[in-house]
Amino acid sequence: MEFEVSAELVSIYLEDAREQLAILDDALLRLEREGAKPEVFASVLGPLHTLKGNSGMIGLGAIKDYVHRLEEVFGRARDGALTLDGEALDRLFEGATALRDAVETACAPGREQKQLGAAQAALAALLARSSAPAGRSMPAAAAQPQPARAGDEAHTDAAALGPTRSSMVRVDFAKLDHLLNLVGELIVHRTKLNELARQLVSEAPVAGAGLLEAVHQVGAVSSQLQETIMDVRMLPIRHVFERFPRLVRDLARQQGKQIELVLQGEDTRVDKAVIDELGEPLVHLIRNAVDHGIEPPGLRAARGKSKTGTLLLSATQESNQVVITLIDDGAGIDAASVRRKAIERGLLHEGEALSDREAIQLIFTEGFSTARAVTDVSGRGVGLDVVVKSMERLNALIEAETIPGAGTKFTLQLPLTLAIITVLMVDVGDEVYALPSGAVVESLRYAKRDLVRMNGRDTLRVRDRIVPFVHLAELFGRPSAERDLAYAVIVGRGDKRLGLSIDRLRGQQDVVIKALDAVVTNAAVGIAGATILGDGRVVLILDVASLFDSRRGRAARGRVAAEA
Amino acid sequence: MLRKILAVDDSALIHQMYKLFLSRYKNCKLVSAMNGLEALDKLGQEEGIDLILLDINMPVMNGLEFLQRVQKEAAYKDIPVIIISTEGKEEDTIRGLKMGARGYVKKPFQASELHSLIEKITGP
Repeated sequence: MEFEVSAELVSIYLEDAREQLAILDDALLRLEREGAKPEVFASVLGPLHTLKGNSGMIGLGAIKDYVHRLEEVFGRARDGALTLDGEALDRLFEGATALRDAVETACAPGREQKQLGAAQAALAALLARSSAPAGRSMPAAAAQPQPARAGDEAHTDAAALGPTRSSMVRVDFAKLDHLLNLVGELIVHRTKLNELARQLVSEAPVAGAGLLEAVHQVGAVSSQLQETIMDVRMLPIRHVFERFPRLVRDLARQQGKQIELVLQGEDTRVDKAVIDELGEPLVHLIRNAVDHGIEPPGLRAARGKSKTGTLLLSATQESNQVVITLIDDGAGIDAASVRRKAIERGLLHEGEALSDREAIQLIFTEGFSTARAVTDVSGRGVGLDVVVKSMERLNALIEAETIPGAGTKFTLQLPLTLAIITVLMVDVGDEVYALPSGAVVESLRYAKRDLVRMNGRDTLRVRDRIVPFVHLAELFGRPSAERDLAYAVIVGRGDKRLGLSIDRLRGQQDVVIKALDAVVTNAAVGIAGATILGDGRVVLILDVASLFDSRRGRAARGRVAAEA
Repeated sequence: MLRKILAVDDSALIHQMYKLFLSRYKNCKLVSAMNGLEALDKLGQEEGIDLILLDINMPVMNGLEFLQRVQKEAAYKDIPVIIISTEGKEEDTIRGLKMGARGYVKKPFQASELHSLIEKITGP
């Protein structure tokens, strides 16, 4: 190579290649389902051609050669010179996987170029099967009117892509993050200006009113600015969903199951940061549904169900949340066996009263896995707690519902964005802290006599429940007034509850989160980030999950005990 | 001589490479378009385009359609066009050359290769 392939070039290449490979997967799935339709070939040949050109330009010879062959295969299939039967499609699916693997490896830090020998040979064998190419495709193409010919591979997509595509600009996501941060600060300063203007009104009414009006306008514009930036960060959830048809197909094949995946609401728009985090937990849930949910065809038939199982993955927006549901019409989860397992694993005491619905939620507990054998499909022996961890990072909630014999439904409630969250502002001593509203179960006043000392720890009686209790002021080493009547916030993680003592509730507010350095986030209590108040004060947003976490919890408890 | 080059390609990677390749030679200024239609638009907006680098396989309006339109416009038909060709599309390249394109390079090309062709066509 005469030039250095920079990281920037590689990332542009990779981003495009992933899109092109998704189109390839989609085309293969359609060919398998609908047969050799001309529009399927039309949709894939253009992107493949671009992938070939791009691969060549950054020196990925093996990939370029493979894609070149692949174009030939599709070209001949389009012209009727090659029939893509089940066997051929299997080879093409395998090839697409090898190709994706090669692209990802070549773009990973080591820039290792994988050979695609086996996949390449499979294509050569396919081409050898086709009727002689020379006489067929070329003259047929030449006979067509000139301009139509070169365009035919791309024109189906063209109408849809055209007008938007031509006005698109590529922007690094980090820049949008920065922009949002700047707007967040702008809003903070506006609040400050607002206060100054209000003070001025009392001293110089005319000038004050003028300033107030101007500040008001600045405020309206900055709010619009914030909304617009949020909108720019949004992507259709299709970006996550689009790889699942292929995943389900492959998993079903591996296990000899018949499964149809139905996608709904793919146009629902979500913040890119959420999109990036969402893939892994959804893959896990889908694997889980294929592995444990949907039964093999024989068993389904015996149970009077259709041999083909259905997975329905849907997304809808509800106010400032996105709700994703995954429904399977499989075996369902047996609450009795979940209970038994939970007791075996020491997650549940024998005789502990739990409704079936509550028992089902135990599958999300760390260390729980109902898999009878560790398959290479679901979880590799890891339970759904992995999903719960992702949900926590996303400030999301997950819930399972099941009807034994009929199926299972997982519901995920996600925030539209990770950049702005709704928090409950609380005073602890002379400091203000923020708790993500998603984790807050309730806030209440308690009397000192409601605190019960158990095993050297304070607990709080909340109606008929006893919850562990943490004095935030002591945890942060802040002075706090002793009162007979004080405020507490009850926070939740899964079905666990924890009471936090605070001095004052300030109310809810939407804030722009600023990320903090690792040094700070390693403190005894996890800090999810920070935000700035109108008066310029920095407010730490507490990571509620860390208060439940055993290591941090112990440290916290130790400190509480020492001060008590 | 500073020359203004209109690069037409639907791949963002290729545009980035043009930028990289031609930044080495101080005498080239780039204007970018993602397809033929956008390129026609740019021809109308930008004064004094000296050369067009043209990909063939593009959505909305492909390279050959674009070339046909350009050849019909008195104001544009003398702007030299270099076809950027890809393996497997040789017949399109030949068609483009017959329609009046002045030369072609094949992907993957080197910076020096592209630049020497540009100088050959537009003068040093």
